[in-house]
Amino acid sequence: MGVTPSLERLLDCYSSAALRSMAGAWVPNPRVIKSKGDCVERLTALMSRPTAVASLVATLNDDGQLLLATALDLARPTVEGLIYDAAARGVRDAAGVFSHVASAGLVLLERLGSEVMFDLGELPQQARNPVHVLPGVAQGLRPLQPRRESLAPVVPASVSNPRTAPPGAAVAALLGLAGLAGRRSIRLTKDGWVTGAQLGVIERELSLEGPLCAPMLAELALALGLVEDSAGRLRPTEAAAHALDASLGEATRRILAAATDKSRFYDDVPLGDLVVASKACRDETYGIVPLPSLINARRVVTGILRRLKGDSWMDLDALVDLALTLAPGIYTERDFWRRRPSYARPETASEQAIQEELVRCFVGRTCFALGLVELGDTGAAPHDFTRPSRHSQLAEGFRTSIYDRGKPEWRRLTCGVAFRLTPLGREVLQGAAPVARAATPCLIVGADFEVVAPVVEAPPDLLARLETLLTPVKGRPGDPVRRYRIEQDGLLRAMAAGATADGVLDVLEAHARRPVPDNVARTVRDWARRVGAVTLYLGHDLVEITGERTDGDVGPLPVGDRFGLVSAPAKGGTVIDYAAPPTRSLSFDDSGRIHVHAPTADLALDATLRSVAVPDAGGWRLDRDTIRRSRRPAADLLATLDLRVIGKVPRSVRARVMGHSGEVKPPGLATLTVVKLHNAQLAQDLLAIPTVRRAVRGLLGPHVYVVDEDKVEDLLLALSDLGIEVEPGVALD
Amino acid sequence: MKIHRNLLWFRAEPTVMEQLLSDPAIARLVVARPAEDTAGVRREGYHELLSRLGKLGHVPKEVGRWA
Repeated sequence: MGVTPSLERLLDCYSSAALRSMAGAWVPNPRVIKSKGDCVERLTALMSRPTAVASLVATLNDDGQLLLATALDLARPTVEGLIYDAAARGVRDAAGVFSHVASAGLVLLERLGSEVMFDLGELPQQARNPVHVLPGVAQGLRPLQPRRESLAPVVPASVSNPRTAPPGAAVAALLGLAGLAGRRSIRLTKDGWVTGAQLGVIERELSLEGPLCAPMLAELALALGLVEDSAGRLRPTEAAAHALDASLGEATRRILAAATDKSRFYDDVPLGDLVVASKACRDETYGIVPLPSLINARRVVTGILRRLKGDSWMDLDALVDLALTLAPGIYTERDFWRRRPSYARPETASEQAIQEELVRCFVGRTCFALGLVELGDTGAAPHDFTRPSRHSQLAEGFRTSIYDRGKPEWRRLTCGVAFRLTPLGREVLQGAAPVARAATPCLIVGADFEVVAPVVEAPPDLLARLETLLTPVKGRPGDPVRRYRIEQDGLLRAMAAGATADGVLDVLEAHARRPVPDNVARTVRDWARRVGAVTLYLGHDLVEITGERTDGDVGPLPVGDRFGLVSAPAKGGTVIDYAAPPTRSLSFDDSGRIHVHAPTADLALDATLRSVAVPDAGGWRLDRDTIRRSRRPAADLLATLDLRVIGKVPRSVRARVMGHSGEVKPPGLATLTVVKLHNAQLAQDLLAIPTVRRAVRGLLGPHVYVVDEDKVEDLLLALSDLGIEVEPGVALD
Repeated sequence: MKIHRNLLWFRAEPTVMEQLLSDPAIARLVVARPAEDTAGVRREGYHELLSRLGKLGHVPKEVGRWA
């Protein structure tokens, strides 16, 4: 919020000649004023007196009074904004009226930077300069009735093909776009425009058709704050869930305000080829109309629609004429060097055609898409609401510049379109009572978590609500139904943004033809319980009280008996940094008991020990059951112990860990048959005999043969051949 | 007094925490367990933890931010 400069400072921005002329409205004989300083001083004294200001305001005609009333209503008016807003309220020749009021000093301009001093003749040209209204102006204003406008009615019988957009379709599509931006990556150009390819994605995913086109939708969503440019990608804002959470009339009113205040889409880009449309918004062919001109056109036309009398069919061309009477230079030409607007009617044929089509397209496409107007045809062929080409045959045949003196002046053809406000349009624009929309059971909620909403029966605000709560299923333009899935991801996102399980189920119950299936209701409630059940603490330190605990030591977030969470960095203790390599704090005694060096022990070590050992006499003892329950591989466990132990892990501990982990392959128990000879030399000599050597598997000692079970008979036979008989059951010594 | 620094802490009701830690992927991330309702995860495990919690149907509430 800017600070209003003092009167002296504002008056000091005017040239001496301008101040002298201005003083003529305040003092009977301005010639007595000798210097600029004297003039500023006198005018400041007069302008500070509310009664003097009010009496001067009272002398103005209705146009002047209406312009001042407009200035008082605007938050921070600029010259151009005030002139177009006054035109929107019905002030004819608003630039001239502004010039008159500003010349009298009832509004004062603020200088931007180091501009030259203001001259009274050029005040309307200072388009961007802030305007300040003198205190006391409000006291001199007469109560004025709004200026109602009337257009000649069109005979209803001559109107064919009447058509309206479904009321609320724009609200649903905008919320759908916010949801889509959360699900998919929608890239933006450096200038923040959605690329042509991404416009196609938006159009397909949201099943858009007709004048509710993707470029308009994207720009409206940005202007409304439903989405934002996040590092070159469209992302839904936190306000997306609630920005249009209102009645249909109020939501549409917000969209219209966004369109007339700051949204930068072109009402008249060609529909159809989105890549062409996307480029058209950025290239100079379309950029010849400055974006503020679009806003001005929308303001003037919206102002007329607000003040329009009657609800019969009216000729769209008559509306164009009226708009261009109030603001002849909607297509504002700007002086390149000084950025001065001309409020006069442009001279060339193509420029006139363009500004007329701007008005037509705002009504025939934007207002139509928002469900504010109903259109009908009065001509033979339907009108194509698109900006005429600058280089078309139309332009070439007529005078296109001031140098084409010989050519005839261009006269437009009629568009053959009639319009009238819809009930929603009267509610939004003229404050009519809202149309009662009773909730009718129209949804089909299946046990398979699919929700089907017939487009004709479902109220648009319901569709808009479903777009935010559920996951839309891709359809085709013109589908008679819209399908949604009740999916965990989408529902949890909505719940994170403030929706509740009961709220979701209430919406479904209120509009479902049959009760919501029990499994759906139970699952939704179960999902809802998981929202916020887990809390993550980032950038927090865990403080551990190692001595005697006193109340309040662990701070406001106690964890167990001796811990507490505090915002990092906590001070006043030994810091154990888990981002650093772990310290060696373990040692083993001869019996394999683990001892912890307490001052450097950390919680990770504690967790490791708890997973493999049990407390034992002030230390820890490796425990088979605990190790097995941990399911940690022995190698992993040993690697962890290797990192934390002072010295090396003893072999006995390794064996214990390997054994306790259950990973050791079970050793086999075998029965051996041995033949014991009493003479070692004989035993070696006998092995020289092939039949004996084949039967012996190995030696257990110098005179003990190991014999496989199936070779025992062979050995006994071979020894028997040598005259050596074997006695069974001899004990080994 | 000891100050345990540079861990991400997540808290839940003990029963919920037991369910979460029965997930092997989450259990593998946990390096500290100061109480039955609290567990500590290294900073580099943040995204994996979020992903696993999301797969288990949890939308965690975040408190604070990394320094």
